[in-house]
Amino acid sequence: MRGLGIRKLKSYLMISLITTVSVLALIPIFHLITSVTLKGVEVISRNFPNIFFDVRPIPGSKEVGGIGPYIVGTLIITSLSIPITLTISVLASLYSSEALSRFERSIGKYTRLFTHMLIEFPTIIIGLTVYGLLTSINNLFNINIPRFSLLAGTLALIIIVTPYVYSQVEDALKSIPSHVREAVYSLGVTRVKAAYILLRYIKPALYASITIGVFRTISETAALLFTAFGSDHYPILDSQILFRPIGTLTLAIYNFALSPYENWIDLSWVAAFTLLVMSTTLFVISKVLSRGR
Amino acid sequence: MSRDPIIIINDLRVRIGGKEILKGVNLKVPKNCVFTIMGPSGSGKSTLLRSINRILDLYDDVEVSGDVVVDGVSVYDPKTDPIYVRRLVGMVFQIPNPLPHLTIYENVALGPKINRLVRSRRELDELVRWALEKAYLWDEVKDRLHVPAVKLSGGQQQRLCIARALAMRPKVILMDEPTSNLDPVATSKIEELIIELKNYLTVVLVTHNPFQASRVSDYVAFMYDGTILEVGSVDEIFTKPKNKYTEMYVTGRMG
Ligand SMILES: Nc1ncnc2c1ncn2[C@@H]1O[C@H](COP(=O)(O)OP(=O)(O)OP(=O)(O)O)[C@@H](O)[C@H]1O
Ligand SMILES: [Mg+2]
Repeated sequence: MRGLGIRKLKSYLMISLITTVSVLALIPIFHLITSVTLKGVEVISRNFPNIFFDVRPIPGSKEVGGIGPYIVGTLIITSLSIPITLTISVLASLYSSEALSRFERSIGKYTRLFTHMLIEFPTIIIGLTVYGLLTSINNLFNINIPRFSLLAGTLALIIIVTPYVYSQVEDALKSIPSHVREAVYSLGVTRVKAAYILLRYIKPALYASITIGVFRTISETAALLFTAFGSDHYPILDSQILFRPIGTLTLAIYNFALSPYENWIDLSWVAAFTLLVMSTTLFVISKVLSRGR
Repeated sequence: MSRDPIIIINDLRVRIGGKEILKGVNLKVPKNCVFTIMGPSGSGKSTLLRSINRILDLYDDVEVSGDVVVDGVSVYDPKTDPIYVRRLVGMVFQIPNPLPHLTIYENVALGPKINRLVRSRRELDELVRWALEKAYLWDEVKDRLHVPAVKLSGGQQQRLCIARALAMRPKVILMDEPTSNLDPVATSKIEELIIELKNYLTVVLVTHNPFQASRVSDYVAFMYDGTILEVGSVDEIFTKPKNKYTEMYVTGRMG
C-alpha cells in the first residue's frame, strides 16, 4: 500500500510539472497575442475604418494614416504565389508518395532531400538568390526584368513555401495506412484517380497544409526585402504590375517598427494585428472546411 | 483437378529488399472453386496473393520473376496493364478497410463509378444493390446507405469490402485472412458467403484456421518457407496429407 502512495505522489508531481512547463511555454504566445491586439485595436479606433484604406502619413506629420496599400499588396502577392505553390507541392508530393517504379522512387527521394535542405535555408538567402538569378537572366538575354518587383517577390515566396507544403502533404500521404492504399489500388484505378481518392482521404491534413502554406506566405519578410522591396503606394492594376515593387504587411511592420516616427510605429502594430486577424480567420475557415464532407 | 484452371502460376519468385520471399511457386487454381492457401506465419501467403493482382507493385524494392496467368492474361507481361489485372482480380484484406471518409453506398460505387463501368445513375444504383445483396449485407444497410461506412460493425465492414470487390465484377477474389479480426458469428456469415461466391467466381483464400479451411475449401495448398509443399482436395489434405509438415500443421502441431 505504501508503494502505491509513492507512485501516486510521483505521478501527481509529474503531471504538475508538465502542466507548469506547458503554461510557461504558452506565456510568450499569450503575451504576443494580447499586446498586438491591445495596441492594434487602440490605434485602429483612432482612425476607424479609414486606417485600412489610407496610406501612411508623410514623415513629420501627426496624422494616423493607414495601411491600405500593404493589405492590398499582401493579398496580391499571396493570391499570385499560393496557387502555384499548392499545385507544385501537391503534385510533387503525390509523385513521391505514389511512386511505382524504382526510377520514380529515386526521384522522389532526391526531391525530399532537396526540399528538406531548402526548408533549412535562411529565407533572406533565397531572396538574394532570386535577385541574383534575375541579374544573370538579364545579363544573359540582355533584357531588363526589374529585380525589385512583384514578380521577384512572388518567385521568392514560391521557392520558400513550396517545400513546406510539399513536406506536409507528403507526410500526410505517407501516413496513409498501407491497407487503405491497397484497398484503393485494388479497385483497378489509375494512379491519377487513386491520387484523387487518397487526397480526399487526407482532406483535413491537406487543408492544414494549405493553411500553413498561406501563413508562411503572408508572414514572410526577409526574402521580400530584396525582391518585392516594398512600396507605400497603392499598386496600380495594369499590365506592368508584375514589374514594379510592391508593399506588404510584413515589410510595413519591418520598416515602420524601425522608423523614428511615433505614428509609423503605431501603424506597424496595426499591420501586425491585421496579419493576426487574417491568420485566425484562415485557421477557422480551414477547420470548418475540413470538418465538412 | 479436372476443371479448367483460371490461375496458373509458374516458378514464381519474389524478392523484397533483396530477400527471397517466394522461392519458385507453382500452382494451378481451377475455376469456380474456393482455393485455400494455408501455412505458418511468414511463409509468404500474403506475398503470393499480392503478386496475383500486382498490388505488390506498391511496395518498395520488389523483384518478380516467373509468371502468373489469370484468365489467359499474363500478369507480368510488360504489355499487360496492372490496372486491368486489378479489375480482373479483386481483393479483400485482413483488416476490414472500407474508406472511412466515404458512405456505405460510395464505398461500393467508387470502383464502378471511377472506372466508368456503368452508364447511368440507375445502373450504378442497381449494381450497388446487386453487390450488397451478393455480400449478404443489403438487408442490414438498405435504410442507411448514405451513412459513413465506419458506422458498421467489423463483420459488416468486411462484407462491405467484399461487396466493394464484387461491384467490379472480378473473375477472381483474393481474400487474405478475411475473418481473423472478426467474432465467430461474423466469421460464419462470411464463410457462408465464400461458399456462395464460387458459383460465379473463383476465391483464393488465405487462412490460419484449419477448421475454416476444411469448412469452405474445395482445394487446399500448403505453403512453407516460400514454396508450396502440397496441393490437394480438401479431403486429401485433411485426411491423408503426404507431407509431414502438412500433417503437423493440419493437426495443430505447428502454427
Ligand atoms: N513489404 C515488405 N518488406 C519486407 N519484407 C516483407 C514485406 N512484406 C512481407 N515481407 C516478408 O516476407 C515474408 C512473408 O511475408 P507474408 O506476409 O507473405 O507472410 P504470410 O505467410 O502472409 O504471414 P502471416 O501468416 O503472418 O500473414 C516475411 O518474412 C515478411 O517479413
Ligand atoms: Mg499474411
